[in-house]
Amino acid sequence: MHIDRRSFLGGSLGVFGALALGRNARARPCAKERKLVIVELYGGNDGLNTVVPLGEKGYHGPRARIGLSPASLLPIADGRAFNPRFVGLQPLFKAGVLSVVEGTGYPNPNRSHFSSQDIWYTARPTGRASGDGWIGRLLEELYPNDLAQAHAFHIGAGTPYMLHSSTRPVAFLEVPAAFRFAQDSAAIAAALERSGPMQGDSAQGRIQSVARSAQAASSAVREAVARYKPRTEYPKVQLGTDLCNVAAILSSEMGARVLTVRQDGYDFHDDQLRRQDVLLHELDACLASFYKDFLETPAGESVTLLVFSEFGRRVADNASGGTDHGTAGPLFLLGRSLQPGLHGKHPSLEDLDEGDLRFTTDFRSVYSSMIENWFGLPSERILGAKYPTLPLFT
Amino acid sequence: MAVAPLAKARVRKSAREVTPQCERWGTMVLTMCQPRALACIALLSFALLSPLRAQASAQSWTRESAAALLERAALGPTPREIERAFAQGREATVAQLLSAGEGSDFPEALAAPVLHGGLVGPEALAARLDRRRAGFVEICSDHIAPLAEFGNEWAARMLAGEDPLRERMLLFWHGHFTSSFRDVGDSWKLIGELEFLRAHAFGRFDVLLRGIARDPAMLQYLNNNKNVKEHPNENWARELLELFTLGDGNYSEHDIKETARAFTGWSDAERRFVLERVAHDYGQKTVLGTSGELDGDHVIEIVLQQPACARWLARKLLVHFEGVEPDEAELSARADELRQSGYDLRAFLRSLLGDPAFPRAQLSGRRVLGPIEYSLALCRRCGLNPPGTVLFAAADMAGQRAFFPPSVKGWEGGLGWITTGSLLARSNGSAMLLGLLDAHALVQSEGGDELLTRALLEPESNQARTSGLPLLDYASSTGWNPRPALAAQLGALGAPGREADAAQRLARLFWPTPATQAELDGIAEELRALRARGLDEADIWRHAAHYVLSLPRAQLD
Repeated sequence: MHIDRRSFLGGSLGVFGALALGRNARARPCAKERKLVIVELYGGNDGLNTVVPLGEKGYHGPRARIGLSPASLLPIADGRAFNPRFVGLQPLFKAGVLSVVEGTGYPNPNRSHFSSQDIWYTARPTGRASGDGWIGRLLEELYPNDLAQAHAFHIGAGTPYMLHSSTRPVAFLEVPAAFRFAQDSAAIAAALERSGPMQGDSAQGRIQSVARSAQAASSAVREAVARYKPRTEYPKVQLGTDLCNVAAILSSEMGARVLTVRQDGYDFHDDQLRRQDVLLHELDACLASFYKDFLETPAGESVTLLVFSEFGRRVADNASGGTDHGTAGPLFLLGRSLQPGLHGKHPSLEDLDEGDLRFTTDFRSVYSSMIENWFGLPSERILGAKYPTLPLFT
Repeated sequence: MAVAPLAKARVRKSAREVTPQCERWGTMVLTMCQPRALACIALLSFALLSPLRAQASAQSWTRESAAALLERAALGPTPREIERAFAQGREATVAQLLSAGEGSDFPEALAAPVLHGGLVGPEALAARLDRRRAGFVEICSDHIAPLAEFGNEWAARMLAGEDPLRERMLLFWHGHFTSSFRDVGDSWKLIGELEFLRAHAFGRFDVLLRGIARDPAMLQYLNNNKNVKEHPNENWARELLELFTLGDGNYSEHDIKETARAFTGWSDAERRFVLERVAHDYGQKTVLGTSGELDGDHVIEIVLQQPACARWLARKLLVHFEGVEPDEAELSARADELRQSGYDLRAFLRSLLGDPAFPRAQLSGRRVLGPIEYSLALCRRCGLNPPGTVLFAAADMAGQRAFFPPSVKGWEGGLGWITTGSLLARSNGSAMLLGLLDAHALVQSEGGDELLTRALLEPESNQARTSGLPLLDYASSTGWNPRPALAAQLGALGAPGREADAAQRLARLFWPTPATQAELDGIAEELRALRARGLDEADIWRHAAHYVLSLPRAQLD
């Protein structure tokens, strides 16, 4: 199944162009330049209808209402097929720039959205009680001496805790055009400047430091977004806008190393077929656009994109044509430095834990691979324990 | 120990049954709270208020403790209200907060469609509502319009400040028993839910739970209206235990499955609760160690008996009012008190707010204002009276979108409100409310109209976007113009060279804690700079207020 990277490149010139080849053939970008984009599928995506096990008898039986018919699926490997909506991602998988880690999860699965999210956000079973988010901790290792500049950005609504850092600034922006003090800005900037660096751990000190980094990042973000001309059109949905802004910020020189976006709505307690269809359609088109617009370019070589969801869903459907909260699910990586194909192991549909899949790959092994093999840092301090790495990167 | 005995909710033999909750609603008295224009009172007595809102003393009743109490228990108190509370004393102030609006809190006219399944026509609704919202009838065919109108009315109540603790608690419950319009999609269902939460804002928690379990908006939001015996849907059951009552770690996955079974068949039809008998599972169940032929009311009774339930709710209330996690001694004392009172929220609040030590002295100036609170405080202290659409748009920009909680967990609150983007948005939203910034100009100068789209109650709605400038259209259709009455609040600016005095007054009006000399110097310097720009006095006050409101201290109470 694993496609040889060079033979793929040789055979796909028509698709990706000579420029891409020129870059691909070069040495990989050094660790200091590498960046990570994280797409969170919020609500708990149903992995079994995203990467569908073909011909397994445990699939259609419990999914009488929502089982996908094999004829509609997009095969990617022996016994595996993508959801029919992944028409843009299937060729990327075949081209070796999209890989899948199957059966990701963690021991003693928590089926609460919020607790499970916090476990993914912090890489620790106790969630935010354990301290900062894993990206926040990564920032400390990446920039031990830089307490002033924001190197992590969240684009869109919400404030995912994975970025939380008690020591490093993070930029959260929803609408780039409004990312500024539109009135009295000079006076406000002067007041923030005068107030000096963050004092202690007080609420006021925190606000002070966030306000200062807002002021500092404001013009760079707006200029980057205003200047950016995408090479392809993004779908006119929130995720498309957000990913286009991610590309704009990555294309500028403002030091962004980790950027996160979120696609909402995966909590399919009812009407799953229709609802997941809409979301996966958007996801497919947006990721394909981001690949074409950015990842394929020379600058895109230093970026890996990770897609995760806080849990998978129950194997059996419910009477509302939906599924309730479950456990393990697939995770996706998109980029040009990946070991292609399927990683990890597909969870058994026969050996269930009270109707739920048993995870086969601890998601923290994906994190440790990312930290060690992509960012070139030791992972143990960031993750709080040693997790074996996976051969995800070339 | 006494949990209120559960009304023997034996399942009747009729296929569909109306709840006691609905019958209760029907008997409520109709008294509409007419929104009142805010009086702009010149505060010549302002000097009396010094040093306003400094650290409250735990023992004696001072102006500072009156301010600290109202900051937490009311919504954006004005100097005049603080002065009145100080004159009355703590006990009378708390009694008034807990009794204001009693008997006038349930407008039947709004509830009627929820109860009887029919929509009030746009004309009838427009006639009932204030004339200042001309142009309302035209957009009323839009399915979100009744909710927008409800929002206007809610904002007017909050701005009028006649029943501030109730409205604060409504905000609290809106973030606790969340339903989002995005998923409910029916104005009247959501209005019904919010009216129910307002009516019981400091009633009894067990009543709130039983009502919300039957609430058509909630039944839809968490899919319990699709929870049937054959294949239970666990969405409501899980959030009931995890977020509404017990907290993660205080139940098992088995409890969730059994709870879902107990609520099978609890559904809605024509905006009313119904029990679908054929869909209900009448079998034996075990929830949290108690077995029997349990239905939803039994589960609620079992849940209320759990010490974890009282702790969960007491913790959330304490964090809301104090802004930080309580220590263990306070939490367990308050939780015991709550459970022993039969979850009487009025008694809980009377005891908490009536405590001479509330809020703990060291906590003053440490609680982060939510965006709606922040905008309200600004408007009330500047004598502004915007329509709800404008007020809520400003809060939406800063991360709190009324009627659209971000998830079933509600808004994160605390420092979760504070991000780079939200701080900029607070500053820009206050500039908009003060009339310094046209929201239109904010985005036009940079291209794109996302902000305006987001500022709408429902971005997907095309009907409300006819001109592409919905917020401005809406604001102008209301006839509202931002004209802050700052001189009335702050007095005269004073002659050049007297800026230090004016800086004091600004800091006192908008900041909960005393300014440092360096901060006061900064404000005075800004006042001089504004004067040097040749602005008139009203504009100098506007810009200076905006500057003070944009700084970190103004985000706290």
